[in-house]
Amino acid sequence: MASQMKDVEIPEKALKELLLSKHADYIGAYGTKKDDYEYVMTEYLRMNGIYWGLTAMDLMNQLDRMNKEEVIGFIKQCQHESGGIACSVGHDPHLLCTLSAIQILTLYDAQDAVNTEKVIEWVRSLQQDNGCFYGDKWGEVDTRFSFCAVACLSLLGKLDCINIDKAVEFVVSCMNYDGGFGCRPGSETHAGQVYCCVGMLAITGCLHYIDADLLGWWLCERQLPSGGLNGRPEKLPDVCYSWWVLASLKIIDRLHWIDKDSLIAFILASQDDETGGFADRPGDMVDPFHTLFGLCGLSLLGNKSVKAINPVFCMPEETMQRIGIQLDLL
Amino acid sequence: MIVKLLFFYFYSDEYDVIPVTEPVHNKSPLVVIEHKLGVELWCIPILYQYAYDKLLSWRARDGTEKFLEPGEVCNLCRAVLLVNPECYTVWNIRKECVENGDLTVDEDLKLGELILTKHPKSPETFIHRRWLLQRLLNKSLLSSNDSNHSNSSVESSELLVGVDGISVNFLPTNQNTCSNNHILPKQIDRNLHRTVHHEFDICLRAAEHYACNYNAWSHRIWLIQAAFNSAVQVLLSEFRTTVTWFTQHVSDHCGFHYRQFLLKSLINQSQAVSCKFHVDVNDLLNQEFDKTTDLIGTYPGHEALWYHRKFVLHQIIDEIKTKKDQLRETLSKDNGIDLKRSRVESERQQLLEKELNLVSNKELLSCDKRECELANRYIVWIKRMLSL
Repeated sequence: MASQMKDVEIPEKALKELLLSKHADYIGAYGTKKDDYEYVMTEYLRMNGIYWGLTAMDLMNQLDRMNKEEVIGFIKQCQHESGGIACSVGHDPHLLCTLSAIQILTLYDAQDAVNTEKVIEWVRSLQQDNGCFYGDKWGEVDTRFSFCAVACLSLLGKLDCINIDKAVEFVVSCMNYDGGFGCRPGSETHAGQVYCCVGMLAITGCLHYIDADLLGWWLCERQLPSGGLNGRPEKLPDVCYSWWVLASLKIIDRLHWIDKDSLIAFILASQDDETGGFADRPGDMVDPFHTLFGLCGLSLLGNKSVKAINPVFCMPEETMQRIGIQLDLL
Repeated sequence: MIVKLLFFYFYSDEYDVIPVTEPVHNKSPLVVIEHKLGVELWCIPILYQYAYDKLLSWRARDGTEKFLEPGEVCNLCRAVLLVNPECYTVWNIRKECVENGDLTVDEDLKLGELILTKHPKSPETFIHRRWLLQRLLNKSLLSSNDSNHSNSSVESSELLVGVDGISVNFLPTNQNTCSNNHILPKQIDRNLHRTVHHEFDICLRAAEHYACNYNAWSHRIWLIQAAFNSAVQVLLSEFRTTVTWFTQHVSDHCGFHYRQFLLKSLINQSQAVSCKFHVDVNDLLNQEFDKTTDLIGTYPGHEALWYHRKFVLHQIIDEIKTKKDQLRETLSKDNGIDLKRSRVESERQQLLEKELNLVSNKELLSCDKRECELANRYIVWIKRMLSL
């Protein structure tokens, strides 16, 4: 007799092969129907969505199928006077979409399409006395924003314009007894926040603050019998955690603590062979977010038919090499 | 017209979508029964598109919408957010309306509360609430500031720790002997007091509607920190009032984490806890440990319970270590220190070994496969602690 456990069962007929060309077609066609209600409803994450789609295409070596000029033109319209970049035209600037915008421009080797001086100044202005970062002028604090700020500045080659020591001090203050991190000091450990904090510490060269064994343990306890990873105890597995958890493990050199084969099986089973794309778990509806992170997870697990992904920036390794960023991981 | 109607039906306390996919001629798509608002499915995309386009067009000051009455701006925002509360730009427009005086903080808190009945984990709704509440807290701080006291968040927290809001058992028993001189109640802003305490109810409702609601619980933690400065009275009161919740939600890791946060915050102020309230944190830890092991016995196979057990044991061990460090400091010249130090070491050792035996003899032999896995993991952790 076994108690009910939150997990999924991978069906016998689950997909076992990577359907790359279907995924490329899915992303390629996404967003062409701009009047779709769903498309309009998700405008608040448009910049993030473009970053997910383009990065996925680049991983599959299909970036040239996307309309570079249109994307760059769109980003130009999204930069505000303050220097910050919005999620879409007419929306307000925010660190989350500013990072996505800079990631896209870096991918396209077109950072100068925006006023980078103003971006840097705007990001710098969001840091507070205790080292934390606001997400925008309205003042929300979250360790995700610490990651966005340092990743953005690092890509622009201006990490030194903020108080790095204080920024690190704040992130470390969010470390919990289980070795993980939450959104603010005292908050629950969450795999997404862990990725942001570990990534932030990697960029600032401060991974020594992390207890790799302790955190590694918590991270690999995210793996469920189905092979999938969840983000916190007693949650269902989700393909996006194949990224947040796996990238964190890779950065702290504990990737080998995960059962690779069963995770690969879970990710592949989450594909949709009719529409292309990946869903959060087998049988659900696909979206670009999970498509990117499914591909990223497979890349980290050694799949050679996609490009190598950088575990800190979630961008192709070759892009990081091109711009000359090399970080010391554990 | 629908947008205006929405205004009238704003005083509902809950809303949701009615799966009517085709409009019926001349019939309103809004239904209100006993303060519950229903919106027919077919009208939602139309409503949304209309309100959203109009609002953004006005904001960009292009096209036909160069001027809108503040009231209409608020209505349009409400229409958009009831359908799509993640649209952060529209929440920002509401913030600007509050700053201009076209909207009160209370009205906006009400909208957010309504939205949470349908979207209980909406991140942007909680983020907006924190901005509103912080605004109230800052205002209260300014108005309470008299010439004798400096600005500090401790001041505002003392305003809120009102006598009537907290369970009587946790009132300070001795107001004069301890270092904190801010115990005596000051001018309490009753509205703010009520608002902040109501926020706890909102968090709980959201937690009930969506299991493991990270956003609701982290908002509750924020409230304790920002509004109450983690005041011991509030921590103890929360610790007492949430105990039933967690025994009824044994899978909810967020709920357990909240208790861990309360315990940790109490431990960090253990002197004040024992001095002012005559409560020993070690007693709280031991009671929590017993409650948790009881629940594990009743509900096998719950990972959240095992994580909680691990946390509580870890804190108990930590307290022993703290005792050891204190011993070292106070008895540095005492020849008996080695004896005392090793006694503390063996106390830690004994506790871990006792727990190891207990789990090995009980949970590890369970017929529940999942329970055995969890017990095994726990045992691995204890063995690691023993080797440290």
